[in-house]
Formats: sequence, structure tokens, C-alpha cells
Amino acid sequence: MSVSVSIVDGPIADCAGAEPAAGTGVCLTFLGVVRPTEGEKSIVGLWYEAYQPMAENTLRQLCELACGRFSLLSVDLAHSRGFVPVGGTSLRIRVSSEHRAAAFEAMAWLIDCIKRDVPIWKSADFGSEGRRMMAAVPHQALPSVELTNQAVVVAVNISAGGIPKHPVSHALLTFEGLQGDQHDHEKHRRLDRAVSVQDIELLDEIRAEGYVVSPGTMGENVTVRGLGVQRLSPGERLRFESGAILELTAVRKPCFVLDAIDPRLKEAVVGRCGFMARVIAPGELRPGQKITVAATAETIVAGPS
Amino acid sequence: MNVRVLLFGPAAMAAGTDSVTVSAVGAATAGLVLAAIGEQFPTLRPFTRGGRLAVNANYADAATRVVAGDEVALISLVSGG
Repeated sequence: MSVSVSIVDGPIADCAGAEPAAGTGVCLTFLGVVRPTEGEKSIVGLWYEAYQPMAENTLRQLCELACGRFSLLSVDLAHSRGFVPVGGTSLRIRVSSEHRAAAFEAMAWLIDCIKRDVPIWKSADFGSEGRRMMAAVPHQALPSVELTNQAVVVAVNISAGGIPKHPVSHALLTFEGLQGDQHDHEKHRRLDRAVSVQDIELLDEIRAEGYVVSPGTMGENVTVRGLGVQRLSPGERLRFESGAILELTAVRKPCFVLDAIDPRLKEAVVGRCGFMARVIAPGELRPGQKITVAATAETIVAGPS
Repeated sequence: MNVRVLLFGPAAMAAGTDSVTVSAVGAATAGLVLAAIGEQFPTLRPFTRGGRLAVNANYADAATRVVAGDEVALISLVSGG
């Protein structure tokens, strides 16, 4: 999956967006255009004010969640800030997926979430009659669970063997690992290496260095945000909302398998490619689930909460 | 502890400023800071009711600890898109 997010000054000129991802069967583009009236009155345009970098963070998190939830291949999103005249494009979203149902559902979900959760405010410009803030969209309940600074699952990834692993909408965690996930090499088929866990923040960092990586491409089973798994220690346990529990066993050592992405990668990601873990309690894993950490085995009570 | 809270959009317009400083007694949490904004700045009360608090550019649960150096913002109902 690949996610691209930008906030641009003024109207969005490039209405096509990025090229669709490999394997795409459907590519759906949404353009939000400034309409000429607000209520009954004519306007000259809209002013958008954004809280950066939170607006960018939130847009990125929502796009990642959409990828996991609807098994999208890519999302490319641009939102304006500043002045956008009537007829100008202020929001462009392009999603690609294998089939159309997922693309339509994901688009509707994303737009609803953006209007509810992204810290951007708009005001209508009535020309000589001044500006007025636009009505806000109420959100139900308090923070959307997915967007708090709580640690969450971003993607659950499996493969028929080797890399890349592909994000799926959900998977059952058993003592042997994720159901449907296979390992090519004997050394990987051990209960204390049943699954691997990777911070998406580190993937973002590695991608910024020029490597083409996204959730699953380096072979991790569970991609997480807000956890900082790399800074945890062997023996620490991760508890997922479904009741599933993992125990970290060892820092994952990058090996030659990564040469398929880039021959320099296995050196570049030492200390940045996550943890191996054993399964203490089976259960379902899916994107959006909250994760809690227990420092020692004694502080966690096995079983669903 | 004093907490500087960034304001945006309609909340900033109502307050006439892009930040306010609230005082919280003892260990501050996002929930306490949100309540303190409404108590100490009555003009912001309409925005704290439907609003959420962000700590370091992420939405925060009421129980999230706020410590010195954190960037705190009041996110009143948004209207992007």
C-alpha cells in the first residue's frame, strides 16, 4: 500500500494525482470544488485554515487506516489551505484498489472522516461583505479511537512465503503465527518467531531515505503506530483489543531476503526493522485495534477484557 | 503548571488571539486542560463543549498526561473538505 498526502497553498492544480499503484483494477478520483453560493448568497471563494502538522498527520493516519480497512492499494490526497476561488478544487482524493466496491466504500468513509477529524476550518468570502466561518461538522463521542495518541494496529500483513507481505482486512493469530501466512525459510518457522512487529514511523523514516517500503514490504506481520516497539525489550507483552497477546522475543535482524527490495537495505535498517514475537494468547488482529503494553508477564491477565 | 493552548478557526476568532495560557493544578491531563479552558476563558466555552484537545499534534484522550514542553491545541469542531 502507498499513501501520499499534501497540503497545498491555494487551489489544487493537478487534478489527476499520482499514477495508480501496481495491481490496480479501479482508480477512483474525487474532486471537491468550491461552489458559488453559501446559503442563498454569492461568494467569491473559501478560505481554509489548517493546523499543521496535525492536519497532515491526521490525513495520513486516515489514509493508512482506509488502506487497511478496505484493502486499498494506494491513496493519494491533497487538501488546500489559504484562498480557493469559486470553481477551484480544494480537495482531491484518488484511491486505487483491485475492485470497485472497496474504492467506493473507502472514498465515502475517508471524506466523512476528513470532515469530522482533520483540523482544517473554512470561512466563506462574500467579497465586500466580508468573511464568515462556515458551519462545522459535529463528531459523535470524543476523539475517534483511531486518532488518539494511543498505539494502534495500522496493517496486518501476510504472504504465501517471503516478501512482500500484503495488508489484509483481518487475520486470526494462532500460536504458529497469522493464519494464511507462510515462511519460506526453516529458520523463520519457530514459535518464538511466530510474528514480527514493525513501527510505521520507522518505515516512514526509511522511505524518506529513498527506499521503496510500505507496510508489509519488508515482511513484518503487524505494522503499528504510536507504539515505539523498537524501543521496547524482550519479555514485554503487547495486548490487542481482541484479547490477543504477543510477547516480544528478539529484535529482528535484517537478512538477505531484503536484497529483493534494495541490496543496501539490510545494512540500512539494522535496529529499525522491528521485533520478533511469540503468541501468548490467540485472537483476531485487524487495523484500528488499540494496543497496550505490559512491562512484565505478571502485570497482564490473559484472556479477553 | 501553566499550559499554552493554541487556537484556530472560530475559536481563535472568538478569543481574538491564536493562543491562551491556562493554569492547571498538579498533574495536568488533557481532560483537565480542556475543562480549565472553559472555566478560565468564558468566550471559549462554546468551543470546548464540542471540542477536543490535541497534544503534540494528536487527538488526546481525557486521561492523556500533559507535561511541560508539550504542544497543546484546542480543536473546535472542524469544517475542512
